[in-house]
Amino acid sequence: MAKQKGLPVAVVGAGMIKFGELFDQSYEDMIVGAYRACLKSVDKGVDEKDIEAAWLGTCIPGTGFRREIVTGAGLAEPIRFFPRPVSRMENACCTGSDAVRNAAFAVAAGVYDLVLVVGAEKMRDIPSRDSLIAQTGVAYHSWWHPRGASAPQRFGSLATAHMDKFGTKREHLAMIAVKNHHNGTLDPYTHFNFEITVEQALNAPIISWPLGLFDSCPTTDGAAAILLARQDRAKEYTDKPLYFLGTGLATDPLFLPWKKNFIEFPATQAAAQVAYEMAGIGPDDIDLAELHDCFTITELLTYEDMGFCKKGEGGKWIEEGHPTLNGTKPCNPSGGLKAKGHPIGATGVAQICELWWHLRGEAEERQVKDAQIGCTHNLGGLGTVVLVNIFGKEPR
Amino acid sequence: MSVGIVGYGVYIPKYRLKREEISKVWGGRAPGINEKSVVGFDEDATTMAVAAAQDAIAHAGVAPSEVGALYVGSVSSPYISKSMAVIIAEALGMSQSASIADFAGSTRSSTIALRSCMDFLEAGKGKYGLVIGTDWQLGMPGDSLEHSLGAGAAACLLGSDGKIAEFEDSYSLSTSFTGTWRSDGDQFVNRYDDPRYERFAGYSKIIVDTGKGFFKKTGKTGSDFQYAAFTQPDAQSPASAAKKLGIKSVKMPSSIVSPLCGDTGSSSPFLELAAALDQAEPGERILLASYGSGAGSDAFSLLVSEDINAKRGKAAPVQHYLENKQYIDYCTYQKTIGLLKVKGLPEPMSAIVTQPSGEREKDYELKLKALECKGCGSLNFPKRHYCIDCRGEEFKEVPLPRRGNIITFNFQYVVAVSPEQAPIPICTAKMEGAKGQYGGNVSSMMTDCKPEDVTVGGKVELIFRRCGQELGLVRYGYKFRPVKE
Repeated sequence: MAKQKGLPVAVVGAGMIKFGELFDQSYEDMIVGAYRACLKSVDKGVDEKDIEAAWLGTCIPGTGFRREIVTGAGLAEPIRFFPRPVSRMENACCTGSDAVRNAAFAVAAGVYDLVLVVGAEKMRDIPSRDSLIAQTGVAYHSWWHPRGASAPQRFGSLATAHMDKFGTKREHLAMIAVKNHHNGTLDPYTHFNFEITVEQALNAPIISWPLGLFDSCPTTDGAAAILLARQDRAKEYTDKPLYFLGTGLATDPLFLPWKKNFIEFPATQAAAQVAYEMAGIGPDDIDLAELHDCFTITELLTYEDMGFCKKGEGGKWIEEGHPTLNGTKPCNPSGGLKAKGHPIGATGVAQICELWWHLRGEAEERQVKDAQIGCTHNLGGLGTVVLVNIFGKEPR
Repeated sequence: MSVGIVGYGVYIPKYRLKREEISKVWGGRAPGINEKSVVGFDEDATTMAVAAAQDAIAHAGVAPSEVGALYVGSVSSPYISKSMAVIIAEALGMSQSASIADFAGSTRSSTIALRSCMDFLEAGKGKYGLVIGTDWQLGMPGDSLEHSLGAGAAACLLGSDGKIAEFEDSYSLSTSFTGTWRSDGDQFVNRYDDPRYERFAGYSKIIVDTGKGFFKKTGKTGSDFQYAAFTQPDAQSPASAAKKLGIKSVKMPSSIVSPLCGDTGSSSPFLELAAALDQAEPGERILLASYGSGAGSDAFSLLVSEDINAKRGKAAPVQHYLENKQYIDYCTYQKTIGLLKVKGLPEPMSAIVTQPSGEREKDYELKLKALECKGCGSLNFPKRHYCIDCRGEEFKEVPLPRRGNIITFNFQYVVAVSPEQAPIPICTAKMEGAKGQYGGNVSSMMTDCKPEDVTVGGKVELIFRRCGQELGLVRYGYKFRPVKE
């Protein structure tokens, strides 16, 4: 149950670099790029010296880009921030949005007035065979893999169960990929910038049946940054801040056989409920949603678990076009993880950048009309950690 | 002698390579061997032994904790220095204080293990003893041994109570005569390239000499025996040896196993013995004789007892394994034995299963212990401190059910380990009789099945298999196999 009504915190700046396979940029280059984009976005300007503390979200040191240790210095060094405090956050795919959440708590607690959050991940410097999908697991299982079961394996088992129980089809999953690829062509920051068809998606190589290549998001290089200020000082930086209305984080077992079932994410339901209560809204009040489509099946389940449609009706909901850009509830106008890419630590922060543009009316071709309230949703592990953040044009 | 066979079990992998598949590439043949058994990617001498032993224990109807000795004969253990027998004992759930030993050196090792087990029991050191022969030897590509060497395991549970056949007498003959051998570091079995001399001085002569020695010692003759269960290097020599000893196997040809699965080395005499016991009647006699190049032979006489009929049907007969087969081509065979290799993957950056954690979790992951919540009954597996369902803290130790029904599954096309096996089916199953919403499930890879065998609701069972290898160490665990009703 949410004890707090909203958070007295506002987003006063947001910026990111174009995601992709960035062979010409180092981890530090990406951080600096996102930081500068964020500074530039502050309407009334900001004196960098006024930033009192920072949070850095990076998920996979060592495996992702072969750094030994990632600390707060990973951010303090490249932007010459020291000796100011930087905390480094890691919480699977919720890394970026949890960095934002914790930074907001520090501001809400009255410890700081202005803080920086940067999410960054370097994933493409290593060959595909070394990647998260092929090499490392996301959940330990000694019988079949000393390093665990791969992400496509785990999400594939959800797709099979949902299909068996509700008659969902691979075509429904393909429609989600088609939608997100289309949205991605309208977003200048995406990793992939091309349209696909349902037939292409269905005929693509299989990764983990029933999931194919176009059901899976890529691994990506990228970074994104936002500035959070005390709500009562937000107007010093911009007349159009985003207000932090609600946040919810929930957990669920990581170990595959310990899941309650394979047709829902209980942690998404729990995190959304807390965030909705804190914001004083319900799912119908959400104008646009940036959802964690690591796999198309994840987005489909999330429609249901966020309360956008009934359990089991995710397939019908996409078929009827509700989550498309011109639908009743646009989901992933940015192109989502599918088209934009998924640099893990950066993802949750970049989703807030997308809300920043939409709620301020700056999203150009992909602008969701009259957007008042938007939410971001991240899901780590197999729905093992889920974080929902809600932002609005007006404070609660 | 009062020791006898109380139960037996066999295992032959389901994959078969036909003679023609090898001949297409290399020509050649092995006498009388039409096809040979080949292990699956996740099988070896250890996993085959566990499968055969589980059947033998079930056939005998004894508890693993009552088995005081485990002697394993093999020339194809995955290790030179590390006990395969102890891995098998742990997988079977035997006591740590049991007498457990590996016998090697030649394909006669299984009958030397048998003699040792009889000594153990006759000395009154235990109630039951388990003897296993298990082998999976490789012949050089193109060599006649590539045609003949197959895979299999057979286990005999010995004891004095509930005997289905009793050991009457035995005789041994040791000689260093060498026809085949495998030196340290060699992958393939070597041989002298002269079948004439092999016939003159090798298998046939030594088996016959041993049999004659046995007759001389005991006063028995060939006509006292209805069955000859001899090691089978091919499908013709055993028959001619039996004939020379005057054994007329009217009910069963003296080579029924090898034509369909090849020479299974140390397990061969036990497999043939099992085939004989599958149809023997009380009062009939079996002459069991092994052969190991560079070692010699052991012969035993067994008298079938009344109890044999009461125990029929409690373990799968040899015929079941001979019939349950899937043909593979020569390329698949070469991939299985590692001659056709997929380009190596990067070395693991860090193994989550550390040496200490492997030890800590062994009771659950190898011995399949599970915890049943005393509060809500939910089956928690592996170990937990708080019930996954009701958060209770008190548990009862129970064995993990081996069978279950698939809740969900998928097929892995992109895999880090064993890419040559892709697509790999993986499923999560609700185990039979297991309670719980979050509890009661097990996830694992599936094996010995085709995609069309995998469905939601389908019945599966956990079987002991190889689950990868790191630093040259095999990681054994369990996989699901569909249960055919």
